[in-house]
Order: sequence, then structure tokens, then C-alpha cells
Amino acid sequence: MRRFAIGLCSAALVFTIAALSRAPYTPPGSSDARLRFSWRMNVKGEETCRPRTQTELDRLPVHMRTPEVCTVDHASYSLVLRIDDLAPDTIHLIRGGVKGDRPIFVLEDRNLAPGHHHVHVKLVRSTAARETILAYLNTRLELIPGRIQLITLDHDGDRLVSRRARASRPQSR
Amino acid sequence: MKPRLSYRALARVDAYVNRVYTSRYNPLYHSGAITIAMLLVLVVTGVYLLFFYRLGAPYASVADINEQVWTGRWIRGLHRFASDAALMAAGVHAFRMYAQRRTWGPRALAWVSGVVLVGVILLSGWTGYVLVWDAHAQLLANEGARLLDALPIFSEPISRSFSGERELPSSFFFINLFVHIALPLSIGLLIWSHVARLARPVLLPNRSLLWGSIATLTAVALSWPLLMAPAADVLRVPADVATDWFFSFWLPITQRLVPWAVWAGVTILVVLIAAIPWLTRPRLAALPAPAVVNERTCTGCEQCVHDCPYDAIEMVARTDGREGFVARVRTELCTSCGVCIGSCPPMAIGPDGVTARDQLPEVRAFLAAQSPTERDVVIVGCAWSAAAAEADKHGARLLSVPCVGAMHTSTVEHLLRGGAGGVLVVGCPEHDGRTREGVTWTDERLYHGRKADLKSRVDTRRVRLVQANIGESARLHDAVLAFASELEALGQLDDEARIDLVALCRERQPEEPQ
Repeated sequence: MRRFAIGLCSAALVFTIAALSRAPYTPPGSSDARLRFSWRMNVKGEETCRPRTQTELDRLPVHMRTPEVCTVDHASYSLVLRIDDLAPDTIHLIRGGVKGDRPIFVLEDRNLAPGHHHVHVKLVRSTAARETILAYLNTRLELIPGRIQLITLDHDGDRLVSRRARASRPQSR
Repeated sequence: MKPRLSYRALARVDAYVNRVYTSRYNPLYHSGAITIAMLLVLVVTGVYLLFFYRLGAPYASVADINEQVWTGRWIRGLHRFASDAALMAAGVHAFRMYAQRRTWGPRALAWVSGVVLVGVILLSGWTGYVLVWDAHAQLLANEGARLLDALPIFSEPISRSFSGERELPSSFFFINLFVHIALPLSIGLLIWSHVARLARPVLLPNRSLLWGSIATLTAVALSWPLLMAPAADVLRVPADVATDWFFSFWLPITQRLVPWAVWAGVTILVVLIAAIPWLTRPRLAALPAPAVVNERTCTGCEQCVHDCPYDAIEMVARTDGREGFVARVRTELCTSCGVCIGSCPPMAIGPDGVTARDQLPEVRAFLAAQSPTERDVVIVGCAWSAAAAEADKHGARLLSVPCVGAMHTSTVEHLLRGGAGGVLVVGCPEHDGRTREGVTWTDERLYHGRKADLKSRVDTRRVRLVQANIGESARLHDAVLAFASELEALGQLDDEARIDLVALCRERQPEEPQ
């Protein structure tokens, strides 16, 4: 009788473990459609150099007396999104690295209602002097529940393209 | 020190489990050892799975393993269920230590290393699940990347790896596999530090429990095999995912919070849990004193060194001009459990105020107040056993001691000499002693000649040791009644033994005719 009870209790315990080991879970937003903006962008600042004056050179220690002094002027970048008739949303893109000389990484997700949406995206470079549109996309997309529509820069880095569900890597056997 | 509410609840559960498994095989008592046993199962099954895992095709290789009906499928199932069982057993073990107030003082090292161990198991499990690269893995990877990206560590956000913009590099799975294997290597070191302050640490459960656990987990892995979840697709939002709630219990919470709130919550939680030894420590004034040695009476027999469950006693050369060695307590390791009190025949050691020499006046006072008769059973027990409940409910005569391991056998002898019919010593179950080996040594001291042993002049039929925790008062009451009836029968025997048969015969012999 005791052995039977032990067997029963042990079986109940391990089946509880096995059940909790594969309990279903629905993550929040799993029925939404999602629009994703993701790319990496190398940016270069504009370098301006001038020769050091003799007074400047005299002030510096010997080992630091380089003949030129250079300053790098970085432009600022932003992403302007307009989805359907909503007001445009401007996202300022921040360069990576302490000196701001690392690439810009863009990763933005927007949850939207499934269906057709008009999407207008502009990637803008701004300096004190002028504003340049580096790439843009103006298209109508069909968003499917549970799927992610990706908008990214193409290989040349001058065109925004749209992509949908594709396996992350081929599953060869 | 009184038991806390959590201990009373735990003892009640223990009592039910004891009814089925008996205290010897109660898995809750062996939770720490079961954790280590399950980690060993993970190592063995993990080595097998490693032979078939391919970094270039993670999902496909796991699917291949799952298709090996007679080996791979159940070994994978066993690997997963053993990790769940390890985490569950570790949780039970931690709760037990907290409930029994076995966290503070010298045991803080074990607590903190245990917290780190659980963290390592969780992290190792996380990386293990990601290796499969199914929908569950994708959820874990996305959430982990989101949380890590909030920290100023990585030059490029990890989340971009899962954005779908480019193929996921094999290096991602290599790093996961490396961490998944490297972390368990540190577990050995952590277990060593976890038990470093214990004498005779029990690292594995008894054979029946060990093989029983493995067999039942294997049975469930065979009878209810794991199925492959859909492969991860970074351009799909995972829905209705079969998740492991032991390792992914945090997902529903963190997914709804911003990363800094998650990090703040995790930091606060981890600090609070790790600080339990200091948060729950008794106040300085109430801290029990460590044991001290009376060097004048210490004979240097070393019994206390053998009995101390925490390796807190060492032998040093005498400095009083006499030859030989004397015991010395390393106060930084002493938990004031009092087990050394019962180990010392000349009553030379123990925490100040509760030594065996202090017990004797208490026994005399108890005898004077209670005046037990030959028909009475005197119960000796601690507040953590069922003894107090027996006294409260049924008015039993109770001599309270801090732990039965701290009871000197002369206490039992004094009680019997003072008129008690029998002495029932009530301790915690052997595999669950708050003082680890207290009740084990008491059994050996009472019945098997371990020093300080119960003298042979004492009738051991009048001494009984019962192991019953606070939730087993009904079982203890039955044991008291049974012992009382045995004593009654013993009394009749003794009455008969006291009859002077020679004198009786002489009295009854008919007078010879003159």
C-alpha cells in the first residue's frame, strides 16, 4: 500500500514538473502586426584642419607638437515616419561611441493594427547649412497579424526597402 | 529561538510527506542533495546531447536528436526535466533553510553561495533553451537582448541580431553553447564553497531516492516525450509558445516593463535574498553565545571534534602545564547548536549558560516541581519538535532543551533516578535536524555507546527516542501512549522481580511435623 502511494505521489510530482515545463504562454502583442525599422549606417564627420600657430606650438609639450589641429563636424541624422494620416514622427538617431564616431544603429518597432497601411519614411541628414534626404520609402504595405514587416537599407545603403517573414537562417539537416 | 510561521507550515507539509515516504525517503528533507544529483544528471545527459548538436543548424540538429526515439528523445527530456527538478529542489532547500533559521552567522557563506548557484542554474538554463532556437528560444533571446541593450556594455545593440535584417551568425550559438558549458563548470566550485563550513556534508541523497528520482524522470520523459516547438523566425511574433515555467517564469512580468524597471527590480530582489542572513539574524543581544571549553575539566578525548556538525572545534596543545591536548572552539565557525554539550563525558564544553552542568540544576528543579511517579513518562524535547504540542494538548511533563543533540545523557539518568517511569526524548527527524546531526548522535549516545553514552546502569527499556517534527504531534501522542503502556507492563515485571521468592517459599512452606 505504501509503495503504491509512493509511486502515485512521485508520478504526480514528475508529471507536474513535465507539465510546467511546457506550459503555453501567449506573449503580449502577439496578435498585432508589427512594423520594424532596422539597419546599421556608417557615418563620417567632416574634418577641418588648420596649421598651428607658433604660439600654440610653444605652449604644447614637445611630444604633442603636431603641425595641424583638426576638428570633426558631425551632421545629425533623423528618421521621419508617417503612417497613414497620423502626424509625422521624428526620431533623432544617435551615433554610437563616446566620441560619436561609431555607426548609427536603427532599431524601432511599431505595433499596428493588421491590414493595409500607407507608410512614408525619410532618412534625413542635417548640418547647420542644409538638410539632405539620404533615403526614403513611400509605399502601401499589408500588415499581417503575428508577422513583422521589416524596413531596412539595401546593401548600397542608399535605398529603403521592405521585407517580410523570412527564416533567420536556413535550417539544413 | 522559536520556530517561525514558515517553519510550522513546512513541518505540516513534511508530516504529510513523511506519512507516504517515511522520514528516511522524504524528498523534501533531501532537497539539497537532490539538487546536486540532478546537476550530475544534467552533466551526463548534456555530454550526450553535445555530440549531436550542430552550431550551423541548431534547430535541425535538436530535431534530429528528438527523432532518435530510443535514445535522443528521452535523454533530451531527461535533460530538461532534471534541470527543472534541480531548480525546484534548490528552491525547496533554500526555503527550508530560511524557515529553520539556518542562514545567519557562519552559515551565511552557504546561503550566499547558494543564491549564486541558483543564479548560475537559471543563466545556464536560459542559454540552454536559446540553443534549441525554437519559438521559446526566440522569446528568451529577444527579451534577454532587450534587457541587455539597456545596459551601457555593448557597442552594437544585441537586439539587432534578431531584427531579421541579416542572418543570425553561428557565433551567437557558439557564445551560447560556450556559456552553457562554462557556467556549470563553476558550479563545482560553488558547491565546494556551499558546503565548506560543514563537517561530513551530504552531497547525494540515499541510493533509493537517487535512483528513484532518475527513474521517475526517465519514465515521464519516455511516456510524455518533448515535442519540437516551431522553429524560430525573427520576422514572426511568437504566439502560444510552450514555455518552461521554471526557467521562464519571469517573462510575463518583464515583457510588460521597461528594461530599467526590470534591472532595478532584479537588483533589489537579489540583494534582498542575498542579505537574508543579515536581515533575519537575531538581534545582537539575543545572539546565542558560541560554545566555550572548560580547559580544567577537558580530558582531550576529541569526541566533541568528531561530533561538531560545523567543524568548529579543534584540538590544541595544553598551555596549563599538563600534557596532551585540549579542545578549542573556533567561535567564528560555531553556530551555537549545542551538539558538543552532549558529546562531552566530563561536561566541559557548551555555550555559556546551557552546558551539561547547567542542565543538572534544571533537571533537579523540574523533578522538584513535577514529582513524576513510576507510571509517568517525562518528555525531553526542543521547541522545534512535536514535544511542546504534546505538553500543550495532553498535559505531558515536558523538560525543554534547546536541541536533543545538546542533551547530556546524564539528564536522562537523573530523570529516571528522580522517580520518572520513563523518558521519551523527542527530536527532529534525522534527515532534517536543525543542528544537522544532533538527533543521530543522540540515538548513538543513548543506545550504541557513543560518548557521552548513557551508562549501562540505566535501564534503556525506560528510555525511548522518537523523531517527530512540529507537525507530527498526533504520531508523537500515539508513541507516548504506547510507551506508557510498555512502561506499565515493565512495572508489573519489576514488581514481580522484586518478590523475594525464597522468603515467600519459606512463608508458605508447611510446618514440619514435630
